[in-house]
Amino acid sequence: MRDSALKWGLLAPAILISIAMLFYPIGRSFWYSLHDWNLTISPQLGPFIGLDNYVRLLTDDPQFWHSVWVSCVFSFFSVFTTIVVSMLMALLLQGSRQLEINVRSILVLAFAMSPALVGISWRFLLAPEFGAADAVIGWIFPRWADVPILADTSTAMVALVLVDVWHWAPYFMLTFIGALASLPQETIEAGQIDGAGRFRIFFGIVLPQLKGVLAIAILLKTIFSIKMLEQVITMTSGGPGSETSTVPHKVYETAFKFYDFGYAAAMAYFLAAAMLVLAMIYSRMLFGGQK
Amino acid sequence: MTSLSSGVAPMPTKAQIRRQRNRKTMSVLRIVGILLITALWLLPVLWICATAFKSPGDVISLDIFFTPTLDNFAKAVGPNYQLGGRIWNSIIVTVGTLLVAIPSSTAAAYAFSRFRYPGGIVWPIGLLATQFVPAVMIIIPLFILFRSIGLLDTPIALIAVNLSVVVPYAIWMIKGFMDALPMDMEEAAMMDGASRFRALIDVVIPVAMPGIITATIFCFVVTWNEFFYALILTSNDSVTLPVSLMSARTDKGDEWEIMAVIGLTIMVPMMLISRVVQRHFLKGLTAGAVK
Amino acid sequence: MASVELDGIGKKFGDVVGVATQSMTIHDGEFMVFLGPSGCGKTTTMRMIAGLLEPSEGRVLVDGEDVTYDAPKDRDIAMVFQNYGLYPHMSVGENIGYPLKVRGLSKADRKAQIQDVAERVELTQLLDRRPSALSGGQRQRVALARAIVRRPKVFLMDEPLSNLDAQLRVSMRAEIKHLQQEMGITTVYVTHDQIEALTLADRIVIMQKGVIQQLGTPEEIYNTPANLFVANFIGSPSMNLINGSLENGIFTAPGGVHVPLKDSSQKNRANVVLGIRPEDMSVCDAVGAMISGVLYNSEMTGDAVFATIDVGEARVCARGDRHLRFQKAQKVGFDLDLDYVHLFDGKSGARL
Ligand SMILES: Nc1ncnc2c1ncn2[C@@H]1O[C@H](COP(=O)(O)OP(=O)(O)OP(=O)(O)O)[C@@H](O)[C@H]1O
Ligand SMILES: [Mg+2]
Repeated sequence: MRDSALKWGLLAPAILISIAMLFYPIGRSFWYSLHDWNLTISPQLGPFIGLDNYVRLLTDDPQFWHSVWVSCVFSFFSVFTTIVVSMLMALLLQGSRQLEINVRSILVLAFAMSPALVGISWRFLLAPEFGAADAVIGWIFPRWADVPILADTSTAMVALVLVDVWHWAPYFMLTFIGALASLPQETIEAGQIDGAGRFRIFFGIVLPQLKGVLAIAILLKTIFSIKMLEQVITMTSGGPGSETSTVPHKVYETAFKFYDFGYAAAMAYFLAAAMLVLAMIYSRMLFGGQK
Repeated sequence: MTSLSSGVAPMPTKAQIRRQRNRKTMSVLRIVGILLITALWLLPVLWICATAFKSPGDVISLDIFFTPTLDNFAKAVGPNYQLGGRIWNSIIVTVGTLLVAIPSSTAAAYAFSRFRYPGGIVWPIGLLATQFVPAVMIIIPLFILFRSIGLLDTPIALIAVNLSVVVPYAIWMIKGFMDALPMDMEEAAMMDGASRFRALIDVVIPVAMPGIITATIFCFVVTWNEFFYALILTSNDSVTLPVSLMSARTDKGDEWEIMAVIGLTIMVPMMLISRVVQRHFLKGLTAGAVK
Repeated sequence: MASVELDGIGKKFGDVVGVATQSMTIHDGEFMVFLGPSGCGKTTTMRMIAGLLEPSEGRVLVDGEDVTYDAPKDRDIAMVFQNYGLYPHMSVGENIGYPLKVRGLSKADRKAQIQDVAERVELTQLLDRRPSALSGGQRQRVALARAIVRRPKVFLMDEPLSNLDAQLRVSMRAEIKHLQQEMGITTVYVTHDQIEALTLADRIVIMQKGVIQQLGTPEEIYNTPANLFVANFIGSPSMNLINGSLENGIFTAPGGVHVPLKDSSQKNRANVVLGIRPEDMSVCDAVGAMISGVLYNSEMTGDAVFATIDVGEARVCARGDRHLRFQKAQKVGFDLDLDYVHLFDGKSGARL
């Protein structure tokens, strides 16, 4: 074909980048995961041990399973809360008057903030004694006035979830506002003419039409939540103890604190596999019904 | 339905009164909701910004009033924190990433949009799917690689890794935009005597510019804010702004006012473009996700 | 200026046949129209001439030279697209000048030629506007100007007028015909509007399902359709078709149809279709008419009255004088102008 030089030439830079920076490391990681390799012991790749890392992971690492549990709790609550909160915000702010536009610009700022900055900022705001948010919380809920929020087992996870919601809700809000705007207005008007109340209209007419967008939003947020790492590093460092140490954080520590690369790679693969399965179940559940 | 012809103003029925009262309650609730949202998202950011201008003594007081000072900025640019150098690193990494990512993504997006490849849609989808892989999985082999070729702690390493994050999304966004462009225009250009490549340069790219800008803004936000890869790959010379946030956490305790200065620096460009971001960045992310 | 030859050309899209193996020659300076129903392969054929589509088989020759695998830019063929394909980011002037720019002409040369062409299509006032600020007819003229500015060997137009309103279509039609004759450029024009085809064409190609049904001048197509498809496709209201049989030079059909043919040498056949256009019949007394039946409907179109009668299983329509009036369920007779009676084989559809 006469365009074939162009056809492959245009693709070449992107192919090079993705091979070198994506497919090579992804494949290489798998190779590492089959080795016993601790960088502090040897700079060269250690002995091949087959699936031993995976066996150890599955049968003999309660700490890892603890982090799985932490990830599950975090993901469930952060996905649920983010979606509900952002939907409420979307309903409140879907207008296109100056007020709504300005408020949305402020919200976008939160989302365009570096995740690391979000984490550190909230660590500061939630610090005992001089943290501004901590003070406000203590003022509203005197019960928690003396609780060091990020250092207390019962509240650290709540804080992590809520900060994540704070970070992501604006984005999903805008997604939902876009979706709401694209709904055919007649369906809502028809509902109003039929005399349905606001809640009826929302749950009976609007929400069913948003099913597709909701499905994608939930899927995306789940993936983002499972991958979330920056805020753990910057806000809680996994603490208190390992109460907020999610799987990515656990992998990160194994790799770059203990330099146990082989084992960390195995964990990462376990996480990726779990995400794949989850994504498949999800899309079956959420999109299957639409056909 | 009642007194249209009677000429007397109709008395509001009880139901109408109730509905009116309902509407009033709703709009009060709405305003309260919007105010609450604004407070929740704006005040934390404002507090951080204010902290940048506080003396260390004011930082740990909860007083709203304080005497602003620029000392923190002077300290931040000093030898301990080298804010100037960090800014420079961030700029180099961001600009370098964009300079490589946008042209190569645009070329690949056009190729995927217009040519058929063996495997078809699997390639762009597979590229995007790599983004769901845990970041740690990708960084372990790249860390080893960069260490062995002496690229650790250089902007080149950071640019290369950022490309792996940014290019898949950018391809997907621009491709979505190009898919929607009619073939007419570029075919017209080819009939007018342009080669396919020239048609791409003269016609397709200018017309696809809004999509390319969207992708550029997206890549800018992601790269500018990127924390995790930079945390792993840099130690000294090439530390970027988000990573330098961590340097405010010293052994002697956290220097929050410096953290705030760095945070403010990170946020400034985002504040400047927040309107644009609202328009482009989020649209792009959804487009990529939905398609 | 050039001739275009399609030699056994065909295009398959997977299993779908876009164009079956077809050949034709378009002469130098000729205005050739491709006509046919939607999906018959007109665009596909044209795009193969343009070089935008690679044929699955056969060759494309321009002036005897094989260009089958040449890029569009190397063929010196211009094209006007249905949606105009204007460049939205360029002004009208830049749009028109683009083919010259690609060819490396200097700015001054370009300007002169743009001005020249703009005058021809009356766009001089609009050269600085963007295409988005133009009306449909003006956009159409920009597309035309862009195509003619470099005096190409061949000129292709794919339904260029279909996005315009009826009135504009008529005036643009005249404009295109005038330009083509003036410049003498070989032109291929795709349409599914038969009036457009008949008024514009030197010759018409009628296609169906990727196969050429007939190639001829408008008169040939209209007066001697090669088969039932063409007969039925051309003309509005369309040709009456009556199934019957032929014996001793006389066509008979159920309902008392009785047509003595002018050409009595035709063999006797059982399955024959007689075709006659509404305007080739005259309304007469029912008694003794070649065709007669009960009036089904009569329509007054201003300059004529069309009367439809039920004859056996067929429904036949004739054009009559505009002063004619009928009663409900009246018995009406038609006489045929025997010079314009067409006979087709009932099975193959071919003209007898
Ligand atoms: N890219 C393609 N892929 C698959 N089939 C195609 C493609 N292009 C055209 N076809 C098929 O080839 C046949 C001819 O299409 P073509 O576009 O040439 O028709 P056309 O005569 O121009 O019709 P229209 O009057 O609607 O424009 C059609 O059946 C069409 O479905
Ligand atoms: Mg067509």
